[in-house]
Amino acid sequence: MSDMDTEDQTPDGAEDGPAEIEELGVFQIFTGGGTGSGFLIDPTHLLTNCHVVAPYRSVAVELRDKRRVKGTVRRIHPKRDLAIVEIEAPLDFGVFTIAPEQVVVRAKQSVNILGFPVGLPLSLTEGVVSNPHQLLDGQHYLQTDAAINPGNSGGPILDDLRHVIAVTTCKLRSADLVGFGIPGPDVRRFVSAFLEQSASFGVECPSCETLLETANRYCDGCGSDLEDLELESYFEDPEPHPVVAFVERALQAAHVDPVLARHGEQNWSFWSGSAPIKIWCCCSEHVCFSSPLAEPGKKGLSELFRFLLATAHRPFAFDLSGNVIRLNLTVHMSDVFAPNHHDELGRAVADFVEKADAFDNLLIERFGCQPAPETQLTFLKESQR
Amino acid sequence: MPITALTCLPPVSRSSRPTALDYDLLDSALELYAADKPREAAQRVFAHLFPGLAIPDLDKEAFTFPQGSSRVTVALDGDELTVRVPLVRLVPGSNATAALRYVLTKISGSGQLHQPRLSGDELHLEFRDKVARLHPMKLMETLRRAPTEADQNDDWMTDQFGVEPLERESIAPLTAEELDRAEKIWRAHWSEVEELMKEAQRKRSMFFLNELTSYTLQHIRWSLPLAGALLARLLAAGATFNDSDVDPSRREAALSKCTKEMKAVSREELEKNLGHAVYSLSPVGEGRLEILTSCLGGDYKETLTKLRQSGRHMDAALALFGTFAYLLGRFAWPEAIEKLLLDGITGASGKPWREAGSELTTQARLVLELGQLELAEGSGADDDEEGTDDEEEAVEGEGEPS
Repeated sequence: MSDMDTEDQTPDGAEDGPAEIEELGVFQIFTGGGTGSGFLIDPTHLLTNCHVVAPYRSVAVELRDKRRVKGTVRRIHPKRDLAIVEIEAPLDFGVFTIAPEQVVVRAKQSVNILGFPVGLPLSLTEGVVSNPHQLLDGQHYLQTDAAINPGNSGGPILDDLRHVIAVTTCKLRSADLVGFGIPGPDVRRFVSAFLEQSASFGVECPSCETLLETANRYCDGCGSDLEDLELESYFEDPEPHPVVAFVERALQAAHVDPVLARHGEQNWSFWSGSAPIKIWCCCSEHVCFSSPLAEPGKKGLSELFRFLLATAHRPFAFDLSGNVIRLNLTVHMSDVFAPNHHDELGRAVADFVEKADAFDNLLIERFGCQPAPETQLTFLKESQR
Repeated sequence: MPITALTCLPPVSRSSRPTALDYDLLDSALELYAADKPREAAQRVFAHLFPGLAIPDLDKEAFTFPQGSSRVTVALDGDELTVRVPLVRLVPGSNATAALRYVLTKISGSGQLHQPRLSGDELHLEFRDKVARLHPMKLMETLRRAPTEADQNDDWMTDQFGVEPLERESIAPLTAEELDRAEKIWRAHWSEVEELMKEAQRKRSMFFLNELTSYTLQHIRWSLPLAGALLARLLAAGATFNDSDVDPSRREAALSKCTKEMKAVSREELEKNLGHAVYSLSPVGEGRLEILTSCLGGDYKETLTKLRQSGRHMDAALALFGTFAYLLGRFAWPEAIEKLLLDGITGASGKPWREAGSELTTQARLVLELGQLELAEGSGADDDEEGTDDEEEAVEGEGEPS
């Protein structure tokens, strides 16, 4: 961070920018396909990778306080792997500047990469430019030795003056410390084009970069056959898998916005008040709903454990994962494929979401438990804090 | 004087070859469920899983069956079906807090349809669901998993926490002749494991350690009808010494401790922990060709051939003894295949490593050949064995998105 904090060398107003990593406008983006990173290019727009958001048109953006806001995909450039996401309301975080045209990137110059590697909180990794114009699969990339991991995609690669000199996109799995970013000039061209356009959504032609506003087979500008691009997949929301359809319908019944709950493929996470809720498929047979609620205190454990194992909690069940008390609900896959049972199971899911929020308070108040590490303390009832 | 041979006598355990399941019944259960006839579907599932057992009309009476030490009760309660398996009873003087923590940590969990429930001081494993939602696969999963879970935990809990068994099924004791044979097998096994441990320390080979720990568990579990706390203690130790992800020195220490404990077991204690349990549902897997192929063919076979060619006859023979015991103890095979496996392991017993390895290799080839004939067709009868969760990591190519 020390290099980034150098104030006497920062042009273009960057010296007025935030000094702490937490104040920088880099956020984690969640879709039904995975997670990635994105960064502010103005208070309402994030730049990220196409592969982070596509084929979803609505995504979730998680803020520092773990709240999620909805983002709408406005532009994508499948070939250059870039996308722009518009957020519902302006964010008061540091906006990044794409490196101006005159900035020359050279081998061995240091770089800083921001992002959310493997789902960790915002992290910075350092390295150097290995090659500013590496040719790979017919395109030029900025190659770096800075550590890049799943989740870093779409994050900014910065020079010492905190200019975005590239956007993280991929790495070689078969080699160590060989990561790539979309070079600054390509990023600048993409963002400039977006600012000049008025279409609410469009895909850039991989050949001529004409903005395509409908899923035509041939490009309006250059006539390229776009069939291989499967353009229509960018214009339509993907057909949900039955598990996804089941869970998201149940979440709607529980008044939870499914878009904001998505956390990768067949994976969801959100808060019900103070209680974190996680949903995933543990195997081909079960959909698991689980909420880590609290940690046992030091007294009255027998009474607490008796309460947790009581028959009254059916169809839910408590368990201990390490020292964390979790509330669980398991749905068998046969129910997922039986739509006539969905209303009833949807009510069970809604009940689960509601009870999870109530149980952490109860466990703390009645049994002297401690909040779980993931508990949202600010949402615990005043009497329990 | 290094150990020169292994003793593998005919087992005291009875053959676990189950009655063949009628998969047409399962197909018709699925059809009935799809036709919105869940009660009839459930009856077909019972008929499929318990061939030869009289299944009562659940509208009139509960269906009870033994599964090892567990007694399983299936009953209708209004529009719901319950499956209950007694676990243990908390009693004064027992370590109830530790017992309940164990239940919450090891038996409760996400990703399972049955859960432990406490009524008063009695712990049961319980499954409850609307009959209308009783898909045949859901019912089969519960009937297979809940009793197994109870059977695996009740003795351990009784031994560790001083709780009492609850409504256990009786287990037939061994005859005096069987007990004599069992004790002979027990004493020989642990003495030989102790000697093999010295070899493992001398060789410092991960392959040898893996084969030794596997043999330690597989041979004794196949040979003897172990039950009770002794089996629970053995499995708990095995979870460390037979786990290849655990640090080798920790594994060796766990195996050494376990061997000392097991060698010290008296005849009386051994007798208390042996018995012929009744299993209404086969406790072992269905023998399939792909199991034989993966255990006796392919890369494993090549590895053993290389070991023998390089003079490491002890390593190769030990691996084959363990594999034969594993195949015999964990799967039910057609009679002819079972006989070949049994002849192989008992025939090699007491012979020098080189000779034993050679005999087992020949027998493995015969087993594979017979397996090709007997198991090649109709092997896909039951594809929903447990433990088939997709845990493989996707192989990603170059230029992988970050």
